[in-house]
Amino acid sequence: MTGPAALLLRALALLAAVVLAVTLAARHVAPVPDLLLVLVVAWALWRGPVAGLLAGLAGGWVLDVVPPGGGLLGAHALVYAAAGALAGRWRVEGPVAAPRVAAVALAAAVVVEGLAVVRALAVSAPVSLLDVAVRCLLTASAAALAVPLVVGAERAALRRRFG
Amino acid sequence: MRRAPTLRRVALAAVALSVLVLLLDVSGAVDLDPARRFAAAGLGPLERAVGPREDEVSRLRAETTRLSARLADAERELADTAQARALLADPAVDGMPLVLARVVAVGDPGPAGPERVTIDVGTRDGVEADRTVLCADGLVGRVERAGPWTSDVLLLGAAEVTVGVRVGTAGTLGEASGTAQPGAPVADPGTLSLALLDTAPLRRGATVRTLGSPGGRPFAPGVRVGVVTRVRSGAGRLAATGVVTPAVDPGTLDVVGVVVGASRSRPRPAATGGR
Repeated sequence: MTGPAALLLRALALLAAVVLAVTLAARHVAPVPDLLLVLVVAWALWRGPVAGLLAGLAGGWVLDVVPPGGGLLGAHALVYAAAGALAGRWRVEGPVAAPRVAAVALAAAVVVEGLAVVRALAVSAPVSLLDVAVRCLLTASAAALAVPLVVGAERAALRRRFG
Repeated sequence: MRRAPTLRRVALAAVALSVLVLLLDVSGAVDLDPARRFAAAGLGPLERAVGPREDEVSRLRAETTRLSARLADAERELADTAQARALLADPAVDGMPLVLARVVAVGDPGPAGPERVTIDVGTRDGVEADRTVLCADGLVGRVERAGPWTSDVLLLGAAEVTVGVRVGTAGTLGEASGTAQPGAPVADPGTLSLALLDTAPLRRGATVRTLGSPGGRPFAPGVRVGVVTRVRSGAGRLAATGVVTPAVDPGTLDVVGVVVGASRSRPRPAATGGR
């Protein structure tokens, strides 16, 4: 699935993930798993490191521009690109077991959260390692559940196209 | 066969472009705010539609915010001397016009909680960048940028926010920030690092209020920031340092008020010496 319509659908999925995350937090739902990272990991495991990097870059840009956004334009994009490229390196042919998906998502979440922690420590800002750990584990659990659904949808779309 | 190298080249170009934009934003060589405002104009209405709506609880919170702003004004007048009251009658510090707003989006949680929120008022409601945002409990933060429908608020405790404050009844000057000043203790998550500018004593339980900025931007004076909960003195600094527990919990934010207008429309009256 590589046509413009498919790319638009993926972009809308990234936008929906970001809007859902920021509005859930406004309704005091916390902690929320990193839904954007779950999508990035799904596409990275489906297509490999380059696709993971591009998905992460696109998703990070969405996070950078959807209000309230981040401090610096492009910062989230590069962090999520690194996480997507890393997740893609663990791609294997054939079915992937849920624990492996969770482990890959956990590693990607550690990259995203770890860079934020380093940035905070560099400016003597406080860090709650417990909250960071809970968010990483929550993202890994959400990925174990949602990644098979995303990959299944991609596979079904591919089957429809090529039979 | 050509697909994979092409994808790689696209990825490389996209990463290079992102690095370039990031460097431009860091250096400040190019003003990228128009891009953010464009995104806010397009996506703000979506967040307003999807975000929390008005209900009985938020109506009551709005009323509480309005009343507490009036109460803060009244308390300030009562607590001050006759001379200060006369000063308060000055048109430059007259009242606090507020626009009430609701938080519709909360940004990336970050390692110590969210640093930014989006509220459902913008330039169409008279909100501009660098305006004070407060709620019934006290100071929330300042408007970072305003789009037509929504505005982004940088919360108290974010690395980029430092507030000039007055501490206790003596009104000792200091700075409160999410990041620690040199020699000051690194605050725990959800608290602020406080550094006095003077060698005056610092006591636990002292109330911390905003000092105020010229023209009330970004911070209006006299807004409650929090309470001193830890005191440390003599650690490489002449003045005492400490930790402030903010009056506002960002996790419970709902209805907030943005201080708008209040720019001086009449010249400050001249006083005559010797009377």
